[in-house]
Amino acid sequence: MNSEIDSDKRLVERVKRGDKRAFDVLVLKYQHRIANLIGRYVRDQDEVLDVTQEVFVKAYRAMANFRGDAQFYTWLYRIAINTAKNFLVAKSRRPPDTDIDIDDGEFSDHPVVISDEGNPEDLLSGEDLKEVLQKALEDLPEELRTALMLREFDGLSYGEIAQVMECPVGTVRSRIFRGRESIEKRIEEMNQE
Amino acid sequence: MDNKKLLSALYDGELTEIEEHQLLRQAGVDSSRKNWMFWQEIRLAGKAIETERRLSPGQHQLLYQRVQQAIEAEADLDAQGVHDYRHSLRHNVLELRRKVVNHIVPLGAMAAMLALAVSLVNLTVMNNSEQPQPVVQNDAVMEFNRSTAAAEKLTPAGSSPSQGIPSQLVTEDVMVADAELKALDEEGMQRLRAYLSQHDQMTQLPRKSRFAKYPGPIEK
Repeated sequence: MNSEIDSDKRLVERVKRGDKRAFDVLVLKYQHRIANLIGRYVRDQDEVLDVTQEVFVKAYRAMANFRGDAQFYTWLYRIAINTAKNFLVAKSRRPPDTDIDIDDGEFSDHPVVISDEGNPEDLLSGEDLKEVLQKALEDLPEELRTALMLREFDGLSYGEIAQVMECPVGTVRSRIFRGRESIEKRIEEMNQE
Repeated sequence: MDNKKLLSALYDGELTEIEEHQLLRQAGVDSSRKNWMFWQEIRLAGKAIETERRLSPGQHQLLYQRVQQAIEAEADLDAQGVHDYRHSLRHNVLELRRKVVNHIVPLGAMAAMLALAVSLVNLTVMNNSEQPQPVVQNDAVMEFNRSTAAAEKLTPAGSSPSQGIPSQLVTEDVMVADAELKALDEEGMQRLRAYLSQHDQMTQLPRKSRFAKYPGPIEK
């Protein structure tokens, strides 16, 4: 991990000295993660491409001001989240939680990844769980959702999430816990219906 | 509730050793089994959703090309940095020049004037000590010097210091400073008072005439 951070630092320094090829390497390295991150806020894939491109252009322009206090990718994540939020505001859209129609069958032909063993008695079936989870995630308050997704999907540590969200680590711990609680409660309600 | 929060952090490997010990001692593992398994399921389901939303390899290729073209169109960071540096340097030079004009030049001028005044006073004192004739021949000064000299001649030996000086020249400042003059002998005090009075008088005169005459030894 440290060598990866050091590698990023070296690339960032090269970019600052005017080496655009070094920035290409950073794009290659992080574009999948950033596109996935944007995809959680923006549903249309063409828009995901647009917003992701904007994120990297913004990052390039701001590179001269990047002092290296934070790690490059947490800095990039922060730009990505802010850009996605601004995009939604600019489009005067409601957050994707209310745009999503869980009955649109978009995911119906994909396999469901739910383990069979040790399945809690009260859990929904795999497909239902996925749909309910998606809805529950999108219904979460913005801060809880971002913290939980950065942890669950991006595998960021609490410290890294704190850097991205610019809040104390204790707050991250609380947000993730409250996010899980909220989802659990939501799924239990759905299970009882 | 608090244990469950700790369990959530334990699930993410984010508990400290002390917290971990505390949690295991208080709650044990069995009570958290259900939560833990539920969160595992949620994580897997979440990853499945994430996988489905991913861009295709073709879209990623397109994205990379678009970003690359956009960055190519951007100004070179190094060139921008040089431009910013030059701009900053120019700004700093102008700022420095403004400060010099506004602050340092007046201070320098004042210092030069002060140095000139001090050297002139020193020169005057030195001249007076060598030759008792007045240095400046301004009419007002000459008149003042004549009256002072006359007063000095009229002063009897052993009389009060202030009596040897025209009463209008004895200022309050000199009187207040009386205690400080005790170290001098009678003659010295008289000469110093005459000088100080003269100095006070000089400040009332036009600028070019401000030359004090330090009186020579009083004739006895």
